[in-house]
Amino acid sequence: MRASTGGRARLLVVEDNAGDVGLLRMALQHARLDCELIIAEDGAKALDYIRSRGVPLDAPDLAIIDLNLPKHDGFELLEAIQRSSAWADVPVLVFSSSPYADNRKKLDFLRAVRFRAKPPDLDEYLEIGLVVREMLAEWYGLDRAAEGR
Amino acid sequence: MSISEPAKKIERWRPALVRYSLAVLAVAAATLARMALTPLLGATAAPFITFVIAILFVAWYCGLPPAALSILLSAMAGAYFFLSPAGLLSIARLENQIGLGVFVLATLGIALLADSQRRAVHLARKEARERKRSEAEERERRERLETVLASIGASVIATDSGGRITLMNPGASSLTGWTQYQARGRPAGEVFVTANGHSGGDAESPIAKACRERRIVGFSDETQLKGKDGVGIPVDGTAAPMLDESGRLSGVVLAFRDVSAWKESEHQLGRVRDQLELELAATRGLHDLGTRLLLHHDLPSLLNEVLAAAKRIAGADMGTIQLLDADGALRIHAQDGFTSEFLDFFSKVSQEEAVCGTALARGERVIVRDIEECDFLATTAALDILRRAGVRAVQSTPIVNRAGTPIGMFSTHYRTPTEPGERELRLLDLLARQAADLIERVRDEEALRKSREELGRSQQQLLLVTENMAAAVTRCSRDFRYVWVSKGCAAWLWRDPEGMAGLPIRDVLGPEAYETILPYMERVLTGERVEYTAQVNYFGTRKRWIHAVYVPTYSGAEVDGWIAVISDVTDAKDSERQLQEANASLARANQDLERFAFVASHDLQEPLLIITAYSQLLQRNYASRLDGDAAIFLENIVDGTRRMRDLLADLLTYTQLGPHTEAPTETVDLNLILEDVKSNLRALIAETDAIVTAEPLPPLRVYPAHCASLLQNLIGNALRYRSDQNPRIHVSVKQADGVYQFAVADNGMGIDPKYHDQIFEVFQRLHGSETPGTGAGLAICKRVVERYGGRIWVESAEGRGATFFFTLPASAASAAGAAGR
Repeated sequence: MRASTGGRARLLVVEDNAGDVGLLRMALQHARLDCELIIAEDGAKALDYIRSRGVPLDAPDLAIIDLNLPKHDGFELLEAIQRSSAWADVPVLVFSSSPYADNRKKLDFLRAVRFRAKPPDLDEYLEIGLVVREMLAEWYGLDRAAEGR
Repeated sequence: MSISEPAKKIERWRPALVRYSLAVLAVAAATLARMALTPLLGATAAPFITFVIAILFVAWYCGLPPAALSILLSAMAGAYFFLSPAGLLSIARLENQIGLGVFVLATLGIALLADSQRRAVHLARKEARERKRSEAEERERRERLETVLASIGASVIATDSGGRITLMNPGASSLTGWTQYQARGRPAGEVFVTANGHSGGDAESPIAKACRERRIVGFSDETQLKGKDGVGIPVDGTAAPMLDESGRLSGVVLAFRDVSAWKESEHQLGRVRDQLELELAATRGLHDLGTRLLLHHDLPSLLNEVLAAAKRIAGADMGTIQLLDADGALRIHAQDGFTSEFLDFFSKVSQEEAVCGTALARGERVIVRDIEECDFLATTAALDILRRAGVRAVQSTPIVNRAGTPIGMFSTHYRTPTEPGERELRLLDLLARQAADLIERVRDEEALRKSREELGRSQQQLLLVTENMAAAVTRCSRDFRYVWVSKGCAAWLWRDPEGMAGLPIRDVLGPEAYETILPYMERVLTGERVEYTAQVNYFGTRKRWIHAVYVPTYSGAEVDGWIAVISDVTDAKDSERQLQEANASLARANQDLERFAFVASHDLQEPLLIITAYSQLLQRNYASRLDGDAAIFLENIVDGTRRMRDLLADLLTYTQLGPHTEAPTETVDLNLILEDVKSNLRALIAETDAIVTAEPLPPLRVYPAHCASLLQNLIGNALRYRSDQNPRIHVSVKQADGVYQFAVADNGMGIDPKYHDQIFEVFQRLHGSETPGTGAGLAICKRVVERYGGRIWVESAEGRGATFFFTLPASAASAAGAAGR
């Protein structure tokens, strides 16, 4: 599904930490986004998913990727997304505890749409949901998720 | 007069041949004359008559021997032509023989008679001639004598045996005042009156003395002639007795002259000679002194001797010798006759002070005839000291070396007003010059001796050093043989040092070692100093690391060999390698540790975030359902996690500042960074009502984040650790020695100096939780500054504010270099 086709937005979340996933869900709720979350707990599972969804319509509306992952790190995933024609248009939010400055070179080289450092406390964490909403609005024209509520 | 004289005279003008020829001719002429008479007398009558005349003529004019010849010839001719004209038979007749004999005898007598008569006439004539000539000579001699007597400068008086004047020349007339005519005939004692110049009394007349002693006598030294007017004239001369052949006194001759001019010049000459002798004695004295002074090789005894001489020359009572020291003051080095008060007062005299200082300033001798009348001494303290020392007069003579530089002063002092004479001063000058030479010589000698001793000592030390130092020292010749080997070197090569001279290096070290060091030896022979470290395999069995220095030695302009100083650095090499290994493993460990710290601080953030976030969720969503204690526990958890978060963030920053990141390539404007920092801190600045000012800051080649955290920490600290005043913070900078030195000054609570080092250590805090902070701020600052090769420190005291200083390199190159380390 694509957000443009109606229905719930589909988000790929590559995150090994259940706590983070929970907080992310809360942030999306906080931003009043009703999303279907596809969770990949490590790099390998994420790669599998990217390869299995080789058709543009199967690709998610947005990918949230942690850089620091077991098995394959976030950069490998970004490269895989870059190479896949089906995923080429998917906006990516890179979400990491490492500061942006450390990763800027690699991220500028790759097609990462937005970078967000993992915030130090709850309030800032909850703002992630707003960022996701902004991105969806930017990519798909209007905030269907919000409207659909 | 001898008898033979007329004969000789005859012979002189009538040679024998002429005389005998005349005899023959006379006989011939007599024969012819008799023949001519034959018609009158008959042929045989008076046969010899003409011959007698001829013989008489011959005897008179030609002497006796030709007369004898003519007698013989006459007898023969008479007998032949006239006694028996018909033939010889008539001769046999007795009467003819008798006639002939009578003729011979008679004529012989006539001849003798004529000859003697001739001699007598001749002699008489000669005597008359002689007498005439001697009379003329006598006259001439007298005239000449009188001319001489009249014209000679000397005065001459002659007397007869009775002492009466017979002769007096004009010189004598003018001295005695008597004319020749007045004086002639008078007693000599009346005209020639003498007196003794000294006693004035009458001296014994030289005439009387000459008469008495019968020999030539001189006048006594001081004889004076009293002229007619009674004035005494000094005269000198002789009186000579005239003795005739039988020894009788026939008179006296007085010869004398006026010696008053001579006496006068002799007098002057005496004065000059005395002076010359004095000078000579003084000069000789100086010379002796010089010779003696040459024996002095130490300054004090030399100066004492010079001073003694100066005193002697100047006739002084006291004296000093001062030498100029390095700061241009005169110091007494020798003295004679002074009290300690005087010596203390004048121990150091500068220019223009007292007499010696004045002489030094003027560069010439100063004489003070009387100190009481001296302008420049009046009212000075020196005057009193001089008075008390009993000095009334002083002279100071500078001692000037050949270069014309004054090196000292000698002064002589007198108890009475005195002004040394010209001669003394001249001698003092000579002495001063001599003293200058000698002082310089002694000083030179001392310097030379010192440097020689120094040299000897340093040579000895050098030998000791070379013999005892751990390094081996050898001297080698350019044909690669040992010339000299230090004991240490020989021992190191397991050899006896005595036997090593002359050995080829190759034989001693073995071919392998020789090949290794050969390039270095060839290089040193080009005149280059060679220093190297190499591993050398001695004897092919003993591998050692050596550090060697080869220094070329020269013979003239040519390198004749080298001196080698060799140290065995094998142990050092080993420990160096061990050290390097240890360093490497330490660096690895350090790196691991930093990596660990980084990963830990980084990775711990994530779980911490979860704890923080979920405890906040609990607080937010379940607060109503938690009872009192639970709410406080939860609050503590949230607070703890927040602090842990800050600590981890700082730790992360700190570890990220490690020396592994690359050097910055761009310059940043510190003024902009400061603005950012102020904006970050604006809440705190507003809350504390602080004033933050800054000088214009230079652009630097640093990472902006580094500088930002540096300034933010320092300014943030200044705001936090404030006093009860409103914070005033000033950032200044100055450039020196290629670095910028920044200063961040505040008026805060200040820091006790005992904590000035501690505060820069990570997580060291001086304050409790009442002031926020992790204790990493200054550690981060230190790490930033040190990363760029700079330094950070604080100057502060409690309650006095604090100023933090840090330096950063001004040039880009050194920033990169420091960062690359």
